[in-house]
Amino acid sequence: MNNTTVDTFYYNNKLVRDFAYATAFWGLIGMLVGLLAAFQLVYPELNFELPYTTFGRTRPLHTNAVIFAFVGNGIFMGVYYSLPRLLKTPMYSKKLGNIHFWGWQGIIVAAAVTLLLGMTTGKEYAELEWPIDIAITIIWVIFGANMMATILQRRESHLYVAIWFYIATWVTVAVLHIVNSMEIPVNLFKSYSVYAGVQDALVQWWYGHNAVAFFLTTPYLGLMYYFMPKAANRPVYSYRLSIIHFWALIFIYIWAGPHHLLYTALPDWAQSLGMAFSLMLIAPSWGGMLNGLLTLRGAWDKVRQDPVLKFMVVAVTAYGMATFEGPLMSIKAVNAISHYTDWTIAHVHIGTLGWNGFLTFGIMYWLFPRIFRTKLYSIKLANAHFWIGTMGILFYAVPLYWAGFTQSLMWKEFTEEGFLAYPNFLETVTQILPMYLMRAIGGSLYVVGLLIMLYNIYKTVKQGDFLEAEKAQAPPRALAHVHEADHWHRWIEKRPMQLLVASMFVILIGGVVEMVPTFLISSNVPTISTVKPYTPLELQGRDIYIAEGCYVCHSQMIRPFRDETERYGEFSKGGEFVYDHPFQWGSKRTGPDLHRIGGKYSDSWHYNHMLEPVSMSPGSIMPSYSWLIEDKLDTHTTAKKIRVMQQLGVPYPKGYDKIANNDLEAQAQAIAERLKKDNIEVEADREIIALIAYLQRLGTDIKKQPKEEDE
Amino acid sequence: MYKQILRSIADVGVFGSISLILFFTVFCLVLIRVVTTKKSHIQKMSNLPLDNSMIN
Ligand code: HEC
Repeated sequence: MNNTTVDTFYYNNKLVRDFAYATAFWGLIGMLVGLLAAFQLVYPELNFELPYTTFGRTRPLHTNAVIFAFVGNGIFMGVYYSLPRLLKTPMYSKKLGNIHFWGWQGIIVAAAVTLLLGMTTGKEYAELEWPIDIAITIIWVIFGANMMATILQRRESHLYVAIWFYIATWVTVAVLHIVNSMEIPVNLFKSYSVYAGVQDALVQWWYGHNAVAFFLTTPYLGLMYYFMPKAANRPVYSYRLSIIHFWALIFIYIWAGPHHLLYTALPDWAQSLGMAFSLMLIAPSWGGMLNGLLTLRGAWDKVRQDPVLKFMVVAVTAYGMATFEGPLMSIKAVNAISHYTDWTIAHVHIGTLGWNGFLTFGIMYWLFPRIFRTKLYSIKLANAHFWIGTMGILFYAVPLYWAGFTQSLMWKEFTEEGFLAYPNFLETVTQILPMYLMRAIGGSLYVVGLLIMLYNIYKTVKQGDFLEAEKAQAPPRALAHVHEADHWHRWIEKRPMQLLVASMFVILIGGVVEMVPTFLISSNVPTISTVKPYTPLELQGRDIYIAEGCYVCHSQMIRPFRDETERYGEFSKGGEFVYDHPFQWGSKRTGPDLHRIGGKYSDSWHYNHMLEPVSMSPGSIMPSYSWLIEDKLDTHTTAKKIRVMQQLGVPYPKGYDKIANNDLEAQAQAIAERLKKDNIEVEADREIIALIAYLQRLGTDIKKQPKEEDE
Repeated sequence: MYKQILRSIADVGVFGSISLILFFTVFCLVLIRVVTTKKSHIQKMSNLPLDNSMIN
């Protein structure tokens, strides 16, 4: 073999830097919006009585921004740095890289604008409307093409495990995104999910759970397996373990989605499957965590000095905590308590603030001095960031755990006479407001830490000298080949396309086995005969409910527990949701469940409550929706909406789209007249009328002809 | 309602079994392969991130 032949080439650091800037920038924005949302729950005035700034819109903006903008750019920063270096080749195409970068930032901006304007599909973490969904698909494909082409032109024939994680991430996110975004457009800004009710819920949480798994976890594990050895300057503790970690994780994760739907109207067997696989997740996750931590064995003196390693240690520990807690919360008995409460919010923030946030910060502190050929401006400030950030996580999470337990216990408490101890839901809210305030303070600390980092990085960049093209040398691939007997693992390591297909196969099994039965039976879900499609006015009202983001505070899924049926009424049946495109079961009860709200109050109660919640419920933290009374309902969309619903199989009579607005006006008129009797003067053509119509319809159908086909 | 759904597809429990058996098989295969990999190769792989080809 001729060792004198080496190729000289250059790694491009520009995209790495730009993605790093974007990560920092969007991280700050996303977290500030999160802070606003956190304070809104304590001081509802901060909703500013503007549609754009109410909690129902700021919360989706926050979640989307931190997941897809902060962590998303963080993934790309890490991949564009590590992938070429692991493969000893520059990225395949600068042009594709640039399109990827600007395309992704464009998507983020479009997402921010549309979410604040109330354009949303109403499915959590997949709220973006269809044109943006398409843009995401295109940009994701460009990213994948660039990545695979880079892999194909590599000089290192073996693929390090981090790259496996990147490939699996890419495939799975593509599949998840496409399947969950199946929707039929009404117009440019509005679409309906092709799935309804139970199926929509199953697809959505298959997606939602795996967005956590394959956007917040697997790519970051890839980063961990690259940057942690880098920062500690020692190889990963056990490469064998990392391979098991990989296959076990991607195999198991995909099945766990239904743990978000325990005790709901989802079929029992799917719930049990979700619970079983969630419990199994502990093993590979902890294997991965230990692998990360043990990489630092014998280097703990270094950890004490190096803020990069400190951040990474806390990140990996947080990964371990979150992945222990997650399976725990999937146990039905635990879920009965944790679901719908702030426990879930605390749980995800251990994951996001600890695992994603701290790993990102660690990588940035490591990366910037390197690509700017300088030392970190201040180790002291980095240490300060570390401590403030860690305190921030604790002050964020502990009060929320407390709030979650407290509220759940209050919901479930009965007096000796057998009545609910706290029949007024609001009591359980005001009780935990102090905890909400502490959480907001914890979040503020975390953001202060971030600001310190931004200053530190700014100074580092200032004093540094950017190395755009980093020279490197390696033998060409043909020469780098050492001939060994080909084993299976090497077969995979050398064949990225096969790896891609294999991981796709592995994740598809889970999706298919869970979803196919649920879809096959769709035709035989015993449609409860009294459940009828929404009237045009109710349909419009439902879309207002979605646009205002009521689902972020209200569930529409009463679980079969005594305290819930006592508080809300008959538990929810799968057959009640067959016309719900999309489903609106929700995941968090900041306010009470609304599935049986229909008929509970008068129209005028709702009118006054929406205008000024505290007038009906003193001390309420629900935002005021006064604009619904001024804004006219857009009825131009009615016909199209009906037609799309018909396309989706909702049995409106043929030609109904043409006369739907007549029915709409008649129903609106009737509501306006009822309000008038209660001395409320309002035009019948206002949005509030449609919303009231929808609320009054909710959950009433099964009462019309009690106990027929459902159990 | 659950029961009606369950009845409507025969032997729904079989899905749970299939999935667990599948997972178990895949897991065992991976395990065997990983355990039988040569040490030298493992070492080479785990050193990939540290292998510095940069010159500057
Ligand atoms: C910030 C979270 C939040 C948002 C967003 C929110 N609500 Fe509420 N909602 C609450 C809280 C808390 C209560 C309980 C106190 C009260 O009655 O105001 C409540 C109560 C209600 C009630 C009375 C329920 C009952 O059984 O007494 C209705 C109806 C309602 N909300 C409808 C809506 C609608 C419609 C929207 C969207 C336009 C919405 N809410 C948005 C928090 C929220």
